Amino acid sequence: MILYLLAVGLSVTLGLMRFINLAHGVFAMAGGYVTVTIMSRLGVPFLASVALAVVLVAAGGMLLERTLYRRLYQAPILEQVLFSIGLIFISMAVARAVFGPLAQPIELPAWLSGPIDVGVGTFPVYRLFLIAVGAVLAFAIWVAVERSRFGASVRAAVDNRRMAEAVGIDVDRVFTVSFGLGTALAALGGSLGADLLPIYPGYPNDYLVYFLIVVAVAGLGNLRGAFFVALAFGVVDTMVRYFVPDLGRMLIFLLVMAVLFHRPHGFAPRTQA
Amino acid sequence: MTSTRALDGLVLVALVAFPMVAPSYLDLGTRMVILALCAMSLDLLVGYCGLVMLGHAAFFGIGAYAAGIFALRAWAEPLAGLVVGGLAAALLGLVSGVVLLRSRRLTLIMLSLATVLIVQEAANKAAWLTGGADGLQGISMAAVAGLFPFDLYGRVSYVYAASVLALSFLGFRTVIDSTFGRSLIGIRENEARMHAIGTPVDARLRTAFVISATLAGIAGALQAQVAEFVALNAVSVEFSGEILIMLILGGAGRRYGAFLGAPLYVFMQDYLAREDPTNWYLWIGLMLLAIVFLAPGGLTAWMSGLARRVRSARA
Amino acid sequence: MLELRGVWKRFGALEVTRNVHFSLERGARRALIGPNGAGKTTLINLISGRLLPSAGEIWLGGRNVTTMPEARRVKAGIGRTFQITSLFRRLTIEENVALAVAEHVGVAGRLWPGRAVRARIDARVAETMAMLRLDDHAGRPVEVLPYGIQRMVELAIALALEPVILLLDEPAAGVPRGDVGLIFQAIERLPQEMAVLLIEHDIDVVFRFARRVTVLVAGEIYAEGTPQEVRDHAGVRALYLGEARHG
Repeated sequence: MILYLLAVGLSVTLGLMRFINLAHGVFAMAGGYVTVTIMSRLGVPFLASVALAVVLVAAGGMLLERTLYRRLYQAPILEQVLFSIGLIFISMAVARAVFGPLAQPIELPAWLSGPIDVGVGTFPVYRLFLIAVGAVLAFAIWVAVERSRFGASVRAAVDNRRMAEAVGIDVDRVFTVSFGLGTALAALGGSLGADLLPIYPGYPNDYLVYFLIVVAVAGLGNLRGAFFVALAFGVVDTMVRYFVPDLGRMLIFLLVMAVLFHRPHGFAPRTQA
Repeated sequence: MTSTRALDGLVLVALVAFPMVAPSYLDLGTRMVILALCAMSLDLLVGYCGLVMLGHAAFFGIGAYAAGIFALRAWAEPLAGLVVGGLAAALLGLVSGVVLLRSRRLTLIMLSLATVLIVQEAANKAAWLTGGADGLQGISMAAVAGLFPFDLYGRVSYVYAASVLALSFLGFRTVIDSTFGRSLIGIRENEARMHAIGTPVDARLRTAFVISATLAGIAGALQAQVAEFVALNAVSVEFSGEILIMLILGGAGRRYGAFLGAPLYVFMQDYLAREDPTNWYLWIGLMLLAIVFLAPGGLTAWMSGLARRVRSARA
Repeated sequence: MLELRGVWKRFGALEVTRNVHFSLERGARRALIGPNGAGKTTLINLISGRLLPSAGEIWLGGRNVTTMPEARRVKAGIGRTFQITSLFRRLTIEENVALAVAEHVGVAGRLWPGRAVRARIDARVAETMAMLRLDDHAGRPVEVLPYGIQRMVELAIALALEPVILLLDEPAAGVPRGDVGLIFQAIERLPQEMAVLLIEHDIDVVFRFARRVTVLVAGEIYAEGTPQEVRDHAGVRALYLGEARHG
């Protein structure tokens, strides 16, 4: 589920804005670091720290969009890839310099750390909490992007920039805001999930392939699909690890390949351009 | 045509001249040569076919392991090992090409990453064969073709690697200058139109994939033989990224990109690792941004742009 | 020679092509007309293999090619141009045409083409460019050329394939008035035995070029006949010619 939180943000920048942003994990990592720092240094409670981190990282993301990303929207994908790899490297180096090479522990508040009995068995509250947040968010995003004027503006702006401008859409603003949304989601995922996916300098690199799997299998821009794919991925991943721990990672990658071999465009509803 | 021929010759001259200019840096030179070969093989896909991939270490790594294991268990003659390494990578290229080439863009990037991770996991798990996380150790190479034993100073290593690179470059040159190479450029420029002029696009890309994989496998085999060791991180996402960066630094799809990029990268890495080892990643990151925003197309593009300006200034 | 038997194309609930029966004979000069959105380009995409039909069959020279991929249909003799110019923009005209020639001659997959093959390609490229009077611009990248010339290159690529059936999707779309004549002169010089299917909005051009005219409305064939018959067809007058007069 945490994967959904992380990947859906990427689906926004990647799917809606058509920008190959491999640096998505950077923002998730930033969210995690900020949360941890605020909590331990300033003693702010967990949820407030998360909220603050999301706001700060989104602001940072929008700043980057304004200054750098913007210049590469029309660039070949190779340059987008290189640029985002560059960001990954820089962020890794900075994270290592500031926080050291070790993972940052996060102290969950008491109400999140125990197990809870839900009738059929006990589950850790933390995981249920993540699932709940994910579900609420999935619905909110679906409403915001697929049903609202804003979502329509983003798609219009990507499809035909000049036409969108002609009908009065402020394309620059739309892009900045949707990029901010993407980074905010990344930061939220990074900070909420910090206990499951520990925050350390290698974060943007090591989890990259997992975000990409979710987005690619769901199909670009398929936000609802991302929710189900992330869920399915989590279930399959856990099962595979449990039953064939030795081959776990390999099997799951092979499975992904098999799926994409049959559906090279993922599970996005086929649309005719 | 004459000027490209002259420049092609210059590449060979540089290979010969290096040991005379910098005899005490032969190990570094050998590393440059091997990585140049690897970056050149990636260029066929990234530069000519327009396929952006982050999985080239899979081919390099499988070539290295195949050659290493072959030397350890079968025959320690290097040339035979190159063939084995090349074949192993070609096979992986053939199989992965069928799967990967159904996708483009983001999905292709993801699948190429997944390929690396699969090979890496396989090498890690099959420790009885590959040495796992400790790397493949205890290789002892025989003399090249039974005539030239590897020496302590790395002279034979360099000459051997440089000869392989020179021959591979001749092969690479033949490929990119052929009608096949032109059609790859056509696919890069406008894949849809290639379908409409009757090009079997997928088959052609698969061929390019196998050629590229083979060359990368040979580079991996060279690495294994020269170092008499294969580290697990020969198949890693980081190394895949590094190969791509070397190529981009020089310039993708520009014939000499790999020859400029790989040596420069190795040189900087060597220099910075001595001066400022902790911030190496910061420097490559900044360098990447600099290339993207200041010199798209890499050094070769920048230099040919410069040459054009000089020429027009004179005219 | 080419025959469509009850071809349908659906995108979701939208039926863009409905039960089209259509045939082209050797050496045909056929125009395909109809209002915007009638499905003219879709029909060309179905014939060329860019799209596969949802139902129905397509036959070419006695062979069922319904599911044959686009590239193989080109080898079977179907060539096309695109309404929205689709070229290798950073390459020169020569290189653009050479790609098509090499593919047509069957040497594009070769790693060692050899001098003789290269010479053969060069000769065919020169011939094609001479036929369309493109020689002047041969060595310049396509993207810097005027749009009229780019449309000619579009045509040159298709002709280099020496198709038996040539599908022209608004070959003069977006071309400045002065250059339109050049393109249609070139089309009039096409080899007699080649079957040509032309989508075109300019009615005068259509009636000058075509020996038969097919009218497509809302995905269906509405009328078909000689230019005279179509001109006299009351429904077509009301539907299409009326519209053309207004706009």
